[in-house]
Amino acid sequence: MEDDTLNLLDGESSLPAEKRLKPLASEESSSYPHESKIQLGLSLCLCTDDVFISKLESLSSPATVKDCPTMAEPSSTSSSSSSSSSSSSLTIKANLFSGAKRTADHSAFPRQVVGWPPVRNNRMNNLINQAKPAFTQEFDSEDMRTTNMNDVVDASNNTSVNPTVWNEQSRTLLVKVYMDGYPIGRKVNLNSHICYDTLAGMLEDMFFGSRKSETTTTSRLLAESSEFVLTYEDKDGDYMKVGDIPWRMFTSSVKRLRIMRKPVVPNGFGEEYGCLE
Amino acid sequence: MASKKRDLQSFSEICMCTGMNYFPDEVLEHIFDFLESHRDRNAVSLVCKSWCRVEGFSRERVFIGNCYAVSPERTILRFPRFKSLTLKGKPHFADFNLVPHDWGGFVYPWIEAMAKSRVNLEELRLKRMVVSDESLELLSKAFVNLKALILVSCEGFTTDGLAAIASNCRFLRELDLHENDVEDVRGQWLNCFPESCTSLVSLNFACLKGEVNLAALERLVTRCRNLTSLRLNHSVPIDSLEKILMRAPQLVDLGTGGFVYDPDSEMCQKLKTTIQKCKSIRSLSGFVEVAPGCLSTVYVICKNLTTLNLSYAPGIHSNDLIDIIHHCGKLQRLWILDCIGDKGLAVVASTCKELQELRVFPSDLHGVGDVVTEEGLVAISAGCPELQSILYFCQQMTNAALKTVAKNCPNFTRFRLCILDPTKPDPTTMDPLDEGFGAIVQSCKGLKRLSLSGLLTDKVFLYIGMYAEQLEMLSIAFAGDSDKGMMHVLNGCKKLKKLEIRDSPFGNGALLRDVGKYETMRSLWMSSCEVTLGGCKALAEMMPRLNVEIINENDDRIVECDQRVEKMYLYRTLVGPRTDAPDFVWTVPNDKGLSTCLARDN
Repeated sequence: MEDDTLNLLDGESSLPAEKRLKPLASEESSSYPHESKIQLGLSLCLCTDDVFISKLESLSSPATVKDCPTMAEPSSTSSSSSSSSSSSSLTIKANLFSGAKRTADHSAFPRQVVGWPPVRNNRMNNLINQAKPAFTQEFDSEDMRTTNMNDVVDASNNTSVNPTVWNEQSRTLLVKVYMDGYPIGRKVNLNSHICYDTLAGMLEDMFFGSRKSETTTTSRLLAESSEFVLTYEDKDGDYMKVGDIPWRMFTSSVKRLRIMRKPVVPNGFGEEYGCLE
Repeated sequence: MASKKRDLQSFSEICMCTGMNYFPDEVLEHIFDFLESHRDRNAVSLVCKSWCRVEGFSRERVFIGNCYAVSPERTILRFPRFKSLTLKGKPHFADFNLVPHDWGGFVYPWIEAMAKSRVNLEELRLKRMVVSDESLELLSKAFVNLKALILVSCEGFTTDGLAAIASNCRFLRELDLHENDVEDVRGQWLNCFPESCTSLVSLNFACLKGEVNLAALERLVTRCRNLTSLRLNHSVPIDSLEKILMRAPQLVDLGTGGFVYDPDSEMCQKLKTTIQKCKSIRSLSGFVEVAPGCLSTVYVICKNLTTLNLSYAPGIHSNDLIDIIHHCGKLQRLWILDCIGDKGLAVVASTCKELQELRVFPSDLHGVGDVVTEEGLVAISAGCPELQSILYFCQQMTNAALKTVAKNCPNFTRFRLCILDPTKPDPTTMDPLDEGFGAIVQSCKGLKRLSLSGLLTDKVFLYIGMYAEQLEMLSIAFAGDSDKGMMHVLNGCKKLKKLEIRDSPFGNGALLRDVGKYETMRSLWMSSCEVTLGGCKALAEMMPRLNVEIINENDDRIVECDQRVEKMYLYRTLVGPRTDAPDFVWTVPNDKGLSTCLARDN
């Protein structure tokens, strides 16, 4: 796992957290209706959790060649305000259809799209497992940590090579999640999260339904009062409680997630599984 | 086969004249035994009722391309004596995460029905289906003569299911697990093959993620003297591989698993000596991890290889790839990563004159580092006259290159091009790639499968409709300008069976243009297009023998008829809407009265 490159925006982007997240599940479309649509244009990843949002939702119909003004490179926006970022991403979204198809400049095309390139999961996971030294060098040398969304767009214009900042972040790390008593497993892409809270939030929505009405910021799963505990199987095959080690260490050693029901017998279980916070 | 069909047709004419009753059924059956392809058998069964009945009884291998097109019970009624069943489940785009996880494709009802009717099942082949451990257990216990189980891109089972197969199938010859998603529960499934099991001919567990008991594996290989195909997973270390090869020099197909050792150690020499004894190996794959310098061990067997798959080894440098290719003069099928580069493909072109199938996969999904371009493809087309099938992930493509390729290789049956930037035009002219693909379909008269990418307008579909007469499967992504594009295809490609479209501006006009067409096809997938609920409803109402399924993963319902449908999958069926659909799949009712526009009230 290339820790340096995977969590490019971790804590250092000028954008607030919710704008950096990818629109992977319905949770985001309803919690942050506006931002999620902003995200759609740029932050598309190859394969996501098994609930997708189409990037076309906000487009009613594609512009034709005649209708669509020539799409200028969206590098003119330099501020990170939401209005300019939304306009640049909408520009890019429109570019997905006739705009991009007609302009000579293709560097504006977002590189990551759900299910494209059409490569099967086992191949993708195989690629992820193989660290590519050349790739890391390219990104290490650039100062990606202060990147905001507009720089992402700029980067794709400026660099002669294709990749954008989003490349590394949108590499997938799919792990299965099982919940006790629930026969069907789900999959999550850990690389679409940057901290335990968002992961837990997503899992909550997956298994418990949406909790949008609650104002609590602490995830139900992570709270000590919860009847469930979120655990993971690590490289050695042991089940550990999620949240005890730094996020990056976690993503590099996790193999599988399991939402366990806490045993009813009160025999010091609380000691073993302490509160996360 | 064409001549056999003609013979049969003229034969049937004679029969009609002299009276069908003149020939006893046994004679017909004997004649039909010579027909292997299901298409020929399907054609034969249409001649008359008598032939349909006889053919139905004599059919031993049944192929069902869409498990929801027909029911297990009907299948068993129609072909009471079949021994081999092939089933396919999910739509192809499920491979790329476009189909939600619990969509369907369960094999259990089939196994249950066959068990109940005491079908004498000997072979089961499944693709993109959900296979539970229960299914495998029932399979292993209900069919004593089960000889072959082939699972491709399936999921839903664990190694416990494999343990059941190993334990109970006494005459198992083939266990082939190809790219499945299997959960490892560490039950030592390989140990479950009893000591009495000596019948294995083919064992492929390359996709399994967990460990196997190496001693048990070695013993198994030792006692199965007829083993010709063995594909190991990554957990089998090099010294076990060496021992296995010592015990099974008769292998024809080998998948190595990992291939990591110190090239200076004595293991290297030992391995070379052992591999040299394996004179029958014609197919080589695996190499999931390869240490630098280790690949040369296999050079000694490369000269006889007809199949080489290095596509799971991203760590190999292009020079090493080129080195190994130099030894493979007889290669017919090559799967490789794009880090071989255009230069490497030129070496392939000059070395592998018998190449029939080439697949070049991306080693980095964003096109970083070594990639291939149109140059590599042109070189291959020029050097490999036998080429029939290509899957090519590349950085860019030009019309000129495609035209050259079309001229050099008129024998393509499968042509799949995937440009990493899916709407990229010809970089030299900035034109769409319409003319290039047009040249391909015009030249390759036997083309059966085509996948497009790059900047494409309606024009390419006009060409496809005009020229691609044998086309059976077409994959479209980010292409076209208007309904006309899709209409060209539906009008033109008479043999089209599967059409899958994503992110293209085709809507109701195209969808409803020729609704009868869909009954001649297996299925149609449209996602992120312009089709609305109203269009789907209209179609379902007109065509009661189609299942028009809408996949809606959002919380909000699709209520209005002018709302776009994100994912639609329709297929012909004899058995009406399926009963196992999850709540995010809604089959649009065929009955006007029932159609209420509510996506979630099933």
